[in-house]
Amino acid sequence: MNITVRYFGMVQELLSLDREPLAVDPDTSVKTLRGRLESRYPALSGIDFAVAVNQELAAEDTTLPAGAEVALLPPFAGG
Amino acid sequence: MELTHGELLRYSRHIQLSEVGTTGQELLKKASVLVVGAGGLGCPALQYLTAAGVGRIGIIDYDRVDETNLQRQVLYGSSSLGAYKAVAAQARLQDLNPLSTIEAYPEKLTARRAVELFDKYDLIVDGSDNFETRYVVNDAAVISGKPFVYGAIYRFQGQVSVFNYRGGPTYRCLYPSPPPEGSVPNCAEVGVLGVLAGIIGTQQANEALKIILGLEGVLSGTVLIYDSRSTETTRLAIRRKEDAAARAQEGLALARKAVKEQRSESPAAACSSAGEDDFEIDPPQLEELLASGQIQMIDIRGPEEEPRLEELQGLHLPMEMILEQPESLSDVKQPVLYCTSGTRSRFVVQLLRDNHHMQHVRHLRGGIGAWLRHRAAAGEIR
Repeated sequence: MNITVRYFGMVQELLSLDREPLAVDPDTSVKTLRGRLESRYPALSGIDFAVAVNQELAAEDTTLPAGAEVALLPPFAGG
Repeated sequence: MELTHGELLRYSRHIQLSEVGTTGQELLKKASVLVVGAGGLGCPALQYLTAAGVGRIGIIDYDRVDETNLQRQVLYGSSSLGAYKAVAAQARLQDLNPLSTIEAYPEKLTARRAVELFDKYDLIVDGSDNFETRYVVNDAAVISGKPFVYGAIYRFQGQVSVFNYRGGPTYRCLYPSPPPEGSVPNCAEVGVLGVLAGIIGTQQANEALKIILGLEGVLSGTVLIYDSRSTETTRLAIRRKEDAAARAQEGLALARKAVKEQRSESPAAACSSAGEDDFEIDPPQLEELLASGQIQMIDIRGPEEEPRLEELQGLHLPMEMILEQPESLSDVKQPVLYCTSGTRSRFVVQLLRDNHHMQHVRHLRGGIGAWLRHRAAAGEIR
């Protein structure tokens, strides 16, 4: 199934990408997606980010529905 | 708290709004707000809260005004250079609205003092620029039962939310614990579009005013992300975690303990500091080393980061590359790493020394910022 992943803040800079479509297996969890993205983009390992699924902050065991919009939101430091 | 004729006149454009009226304006007069950090976010927030007639406003910031602040910290001018931000802001705001009481705390918000200070105000606005303070703000606000308006910025993007509002989510419900030190760059490190700070800080003032006025639509349970390039706004829903209060208690206790330990360790640290600090090079020292021609400068910033300075020219190895292949530095003689503000280069050097036994790697303390300051000062003397 297909999902869309959106990148914010430092993650967007590291990947030079603000969003991309991604094909994942059905029943993929947030945790699995995190692992997959980290192996696809080694720059992501060691970086903290919150994950939202369909505009709602999601726990690691959340299963992604087909067509989900997933957002990776790292903390911002500046003020 | 009745309004005087002068106040009815000054705030007439508010009072004309049926959603505010004299009742709302009286609520503002009765209200007290503490703004943590009088920087990019704090300045615009303070400006609008003061103009709006909030009765008592506290400003806590231990930093002093420097040239790099003036691009976005709109309460200060060239005449404020070197002054405590809290004090300079107080003077400007008192002129903006003499009817408000402005209280300045030119000090660091410590875990020890935060709860006591927060108890004196109805509402907190967080405009801090580091995670240590952000977590102190969260934890102390949760413990003292005060809502706080959160804002944070990164280059062209900002986040805004209201935390701990009527049992709503907290900052720890979004980010349970601080990221590793040095892993998230701040404005000094990666830059920020000045007006973005204005937009996000003004949004914070807007939320604070809605809370005080008891208006609907307070941004609680939602994190708003704004991108100033695309002008796109994204809203993410967030819920309070069951352990939000417990985590705040635990977090503040830990922060207090950390301060204590730092203090008790300091005499020993002073003894060993000569050896420990060997990996840090100050700008004057660098000037001598550059003249000797014995060192290899290494720019660890990203490929597009500016400015590039001719006198610091050397190798360009972005931080990510060094972290992936630390051995690339093994054969380099006397490498001196540098970045924008010295945060990333210190992080990398410590990592190389601790985990890869590369004791020959040093870095420029304070980065390009400190170097420019040193050169500008030298130029003025000549």
